[in-house]
Amino acid sequence: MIPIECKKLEDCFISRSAYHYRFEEKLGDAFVDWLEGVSSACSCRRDFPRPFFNAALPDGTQVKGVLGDTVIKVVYPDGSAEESKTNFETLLMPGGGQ
Amino acid sequence: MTVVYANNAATAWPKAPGVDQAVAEKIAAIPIHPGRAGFDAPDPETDCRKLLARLLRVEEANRILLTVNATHALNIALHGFPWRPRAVALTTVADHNAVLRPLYFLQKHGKIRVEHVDVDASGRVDMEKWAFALKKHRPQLAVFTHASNVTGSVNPVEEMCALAKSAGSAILLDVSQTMGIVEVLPQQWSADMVAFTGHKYLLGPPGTGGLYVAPRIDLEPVWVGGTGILSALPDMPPDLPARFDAGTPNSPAFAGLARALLWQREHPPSVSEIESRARRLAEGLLSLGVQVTEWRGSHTPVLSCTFPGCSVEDAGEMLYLSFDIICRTGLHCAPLIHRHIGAGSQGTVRFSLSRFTADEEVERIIAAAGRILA
Repeated sequence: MIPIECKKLEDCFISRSAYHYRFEEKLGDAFVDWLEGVSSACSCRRDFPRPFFNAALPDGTQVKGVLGDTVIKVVYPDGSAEESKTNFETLLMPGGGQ
Repeated sequence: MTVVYANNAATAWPKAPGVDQAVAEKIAAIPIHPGRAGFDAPDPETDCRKLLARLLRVEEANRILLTVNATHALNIALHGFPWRPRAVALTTVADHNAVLRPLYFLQKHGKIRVEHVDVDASGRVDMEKWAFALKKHRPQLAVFTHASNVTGSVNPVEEMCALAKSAGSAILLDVSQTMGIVEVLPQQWSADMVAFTGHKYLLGPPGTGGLYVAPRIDLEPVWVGGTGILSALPDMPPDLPARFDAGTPNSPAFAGLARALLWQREHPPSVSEIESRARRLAEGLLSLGVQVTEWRGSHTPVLSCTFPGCSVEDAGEMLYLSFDIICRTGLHCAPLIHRHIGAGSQGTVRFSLSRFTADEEVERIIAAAGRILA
């Protein structure tokens, strides 16, 4: 899935590298399946009115969002944010997570 | 699902009935020439000052300076204050960056030294430490919040002011979290300056705020320019409020604030009802195992908490994205309070209700918290 927009997020904390990625299509089970494949831990709270997924990649990158939305939030680890961002964006490219 | 709005400590929603209409009407109306308006022209700034003076129970409405927000008001007070050389400003760890950052700026530029007083686990100023710090530092100015924007604890402001006065300090009180929902009485408390915002519990639009300045305080304006009156003078006009009224005012927003103030005067909030809803929320969350900041004594409808096994950020995102509940997470621009109230470096999840929050909305927050912890 290729994002159509990427926006850096600002919050209370110094040196946090958090981004929103927007996709053209709504995120569904296939995206969560893909996340499970590339992450070291992934959960999806399907008991919620809008199921909430949260995944941790091996390098510490956190990916979260809800099914049915077009946006995910990605928080890259302090210290290796640039490298982790490049790696995650590569993973999002077709065939990247295969 | 309808949205539950529980972020009123940041900005109130909904606003008072008619505020949007008042703003729109003022924008659409032909502007009257400033300073030459005559008796019949609408003058929202004067209306606001009169209504605010009545609310604050102060005699001179002209000593209420209108600003764009509380931060602006606090900057006028702190930068315009007649600091003595090597003066000390005493504040508290519960204070907001709107107070702390102007103080740090002045300290960084060698104008003052800043000292902080701790709070207890509820976020309320420790009175023994307050009295001790006043004696030890003899501050020229004591500047503190009426209530914590993180925990909702209301400080014993009358006692704090009395102690500060007996130590010879002037007082600047930040009532951003209380005005409109808790009584604010500058004359009774001998508070020299009171900074407030219009868009929280006063239920007015953003872009409104103000500073009450007691007659005994002589501030230097830090923002100068055209006033529409006494234009031949090279300096700002000597009298208040014109001395601080540089530039074109945001009249539509003040028309909205005037409408909100009028509505609140005609429909005073039932503080006991609002507090009882907030208490029900605290008790409901506690019963689920949510760690709620200690709740005791006088309170605004604000509470902070953390969810065991769930980061502050995740809890806030789940509440919003999955349950349509808007709260706020993080440090809430009050970075020093968190270690005193048992919160970690990620801050807290904060719920802040208003007079418009319904019982069923409180129950929805509790139910959502239960689902998150399940």
